[in-house]
Amino acid sequence: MDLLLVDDSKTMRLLVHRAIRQAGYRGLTVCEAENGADALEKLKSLKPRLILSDWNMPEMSGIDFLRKLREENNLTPFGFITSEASKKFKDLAISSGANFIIIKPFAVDDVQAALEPILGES
Amino acid sequence: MAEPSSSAMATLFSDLIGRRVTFSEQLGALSPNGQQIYCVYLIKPMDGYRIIKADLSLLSSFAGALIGLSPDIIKERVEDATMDESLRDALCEVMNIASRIVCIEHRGVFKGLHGDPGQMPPAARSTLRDPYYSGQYKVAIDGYEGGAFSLLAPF
Repeated sequence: MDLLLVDDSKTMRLLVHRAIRQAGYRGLTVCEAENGADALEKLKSLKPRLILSDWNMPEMSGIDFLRKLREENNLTPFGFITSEASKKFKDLAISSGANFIIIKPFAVDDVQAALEPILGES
Repeated sequence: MAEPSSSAMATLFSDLIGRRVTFSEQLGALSPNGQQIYCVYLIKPMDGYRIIKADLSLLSSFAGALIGLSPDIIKERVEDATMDESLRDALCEVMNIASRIVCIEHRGVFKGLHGDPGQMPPAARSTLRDPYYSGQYKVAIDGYEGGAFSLLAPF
């Protein structure tokens, strides 16, 4: 499994899927989760190459999910896709172990630039 | 408090849906078209509420364009009393992303949308009744139905 996509919005999961395909990553296997707690459960049996997560989600937010992962020594590359655009949030994400942040609304190029260092060229 | 410009709002929505969107500020009162939707944002750290009040048809155009629905299909679904789940989910996502421009100096957290303002938190209803700031815009979307859009703030 290549990618775990975590977002409570079906729409955003659909848009991220579409952007990933448009960025040229057509063969990726993608699993979805609706929030951090759901993602942690799925990670008991999955080992993705990359996790893409929203920030604001019910039950467990993206930042709490990331912190929990790193507490458990899970070092899977992690990126946020979020509308939280302030420097404060970016700094918090990076200091908590995120590899990158994509700000909504995003372009296909933003997704490609973030994924390429981790997944290789599309 | 600084308010978002028409061009900043137009850019955000244009980037989001991949179509040209224009916001034209209006000095007089807007004429709403049909059902109104009230989007509630909690402003941190002040804990006041800002409101976006807009035509359902306008917000549905944003949502439908985002997920690739044609204007005819959007109109059909809006006229249906029970709004299609995919359109409603897209509408929530659009308004969540709009939290970036609702408050440019502080953090706006999207708390939900309502067809009935009576369902909003009391402090949000107070913003709606007696806003300190009110920005009124006519919005046009290339190829889709536009409409009225207001941003209301308590401070």
